[in-house]
Amino acid sequence: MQRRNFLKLGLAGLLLGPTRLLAADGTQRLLSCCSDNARNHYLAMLDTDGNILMQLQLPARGHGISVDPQQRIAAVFARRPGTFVWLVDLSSGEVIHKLQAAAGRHYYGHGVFSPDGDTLLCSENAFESGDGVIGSYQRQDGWQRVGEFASHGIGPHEFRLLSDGETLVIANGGIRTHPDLPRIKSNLAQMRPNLAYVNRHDGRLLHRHEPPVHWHQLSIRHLDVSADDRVAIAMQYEGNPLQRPPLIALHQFDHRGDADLQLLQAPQQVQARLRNYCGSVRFSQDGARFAVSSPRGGLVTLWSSDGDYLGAHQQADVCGIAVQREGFVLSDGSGAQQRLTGLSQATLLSQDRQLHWDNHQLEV
Amino acid sequence: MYRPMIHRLTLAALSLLLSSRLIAYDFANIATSHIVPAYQQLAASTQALNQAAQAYCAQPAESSLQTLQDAHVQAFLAWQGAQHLRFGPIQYLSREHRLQLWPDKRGTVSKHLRVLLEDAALTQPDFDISAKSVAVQGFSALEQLLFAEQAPDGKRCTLLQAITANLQQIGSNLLHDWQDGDQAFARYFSAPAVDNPLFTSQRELAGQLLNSLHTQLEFIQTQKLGRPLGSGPERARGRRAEAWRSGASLAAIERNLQACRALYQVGFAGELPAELDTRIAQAFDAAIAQLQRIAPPLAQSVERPAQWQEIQQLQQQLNGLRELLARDLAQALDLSLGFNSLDGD
Repeated sequence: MQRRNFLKLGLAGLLLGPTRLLAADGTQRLLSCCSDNARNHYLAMLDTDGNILMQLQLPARGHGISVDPQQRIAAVFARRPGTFVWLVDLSSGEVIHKLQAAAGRHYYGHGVFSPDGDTLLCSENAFESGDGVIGSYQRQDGWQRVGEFASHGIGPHEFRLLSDGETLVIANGGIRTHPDLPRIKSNLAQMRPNLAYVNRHDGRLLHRHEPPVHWHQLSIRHLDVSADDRVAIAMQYEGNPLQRPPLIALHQFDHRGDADLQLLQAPQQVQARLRNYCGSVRFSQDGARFAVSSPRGGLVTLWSSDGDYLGAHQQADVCGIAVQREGFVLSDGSGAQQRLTGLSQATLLSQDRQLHWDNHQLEV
Repeated sequence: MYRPMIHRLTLAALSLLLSSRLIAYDFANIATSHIVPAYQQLAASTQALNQAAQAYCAQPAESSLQTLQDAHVQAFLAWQGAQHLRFGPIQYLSREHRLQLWPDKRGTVSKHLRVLLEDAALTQPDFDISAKSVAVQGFSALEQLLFAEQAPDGKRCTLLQAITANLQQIGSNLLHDWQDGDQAFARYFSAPAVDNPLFTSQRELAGQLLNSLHTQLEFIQTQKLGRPLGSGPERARGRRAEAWRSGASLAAIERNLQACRALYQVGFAGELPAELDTRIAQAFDAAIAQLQRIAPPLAQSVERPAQWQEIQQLQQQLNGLRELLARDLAQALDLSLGFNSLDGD
């Protein structure tokens, strides 16, 4: 088993060759996790036409990807309840370090580099107590885990750094799980998700915002931050499937912390088609709008950064969203990459039916 | 080189055109002839199980224990006949896991059972097992109590009656949610439409059914067979089999395969080109025939090298069947199996 993996990795290395993966002229690349029909799992790099340049086999299914601000390293996070984070050199495609979850902790699938690229923060589950934590890993210490602080909620998932470089905004999904029973959500009746603003140095809680009490089963899972610190939020509803809660929200950080979550509703017919489940959310490059994917409804909705509904694009099993100057690149479970420009002009870039693009993708 | 290519493309386009004109799933029929009967069986057999538990605990005796054990296996197999239906009311309130927690890699069921048997709350009149860990609520916990070395009595009887009452409750709630009242799930299931709040299109719902079938076959292949098989005969572990205590492992898989075949038959067979239907039907039959070559109980067979090969052979056949569904059937009916949509994060 181990030997076979090793061989495949070796092959991946050969495929790469010595060439630089990132184009010298700064042409964009896309990074995404994917799986094939035989249930092998990879990190893939694509060019902007959707052609695969590299596939690196992972030990299990990957989830989120982060790149350091200097664009030297990509971190690929295992899907929850995962135990690995791999750091990949973006110029050679080589794995430079493999982080292993600490005792009593597993990863939730997302992370953030500090502005200097020397610290990697990962959302983690301290699963015996059920507390969400942010683990801290330092380059100077050979990417050792040097500490952790509270995420100030249960089930921290995606999180980002605000423009001050100091404040994290964390989606605490509110769902308690234990790796012994990995797919069992043990606190659905009591869940209290929140959006938490936390100082990345000392873990101090600045502010915390919850959905209204009657929507306490709205799990805040994924978010993105614009250059002016607007936070766009994509949620998943764990309650009665016949109810139609809002699934998308905006929030603007302010130091007093008195702004509430701005809950957004699409027109009724569209809202119903989101199937109470949103996957990824990303702002456009100019920050004027954002896109939210709803894989169960096969829909991507587009919103202005003030929260106005703009339109929707149909694509079965769509989830990953990368951002380009021209618009968004959307990936799906049938191996397709589509480019969406404007509100509705979609172009199929590539499709490999043997591959299933996973939940998230990222441009570098 | 060029001409055959065009020819093939034309054929593909033609067959897509033809198929899109002819496909008309009858979801109402799938609900009434396949799904609801499966839940009726589960409701009836869990009720019988609960009655057998009351009878045994009122007067514990070897003969009534045997009756109770049989009732357990019957209800467990009824559940196996519905396990492939991974959508709708079974997904609410963790019902699937409350019915059965398996695989249980870290012995969670035993651990929670031990704790609960020491818990004073167990003997209080207001004890409510549905508020306890999912690990102690269903068939996995019940099997441990019923097939232990010592016949259950005292607190164990209290606990096993709580479990069987809980199973009966879940079974009857599932049936109720599928068929009763204005909000019956079968009503939504039977009529996918743009204004249907749960299923917008025939294609979406057919994709979910296909995913259910595929998931179940994969579950049998990788978990029910794969876990006890290990990586070689010397690595086989009989106690990693599902339901090894009651010896119902192979019967469970047979019930699963029959149920999958029945869903395929009522849901998809009539929509496919005859040639593909024949291949899939033969693959189902071959897998079921191969299963019958394995001597029960699975937990012992898996540790015998000759039988190990037969079990691995079944695993490979299921893999082939799975590919027929995921590739050929999905392509022929233009269905998406759903990668991001059905296994969310």
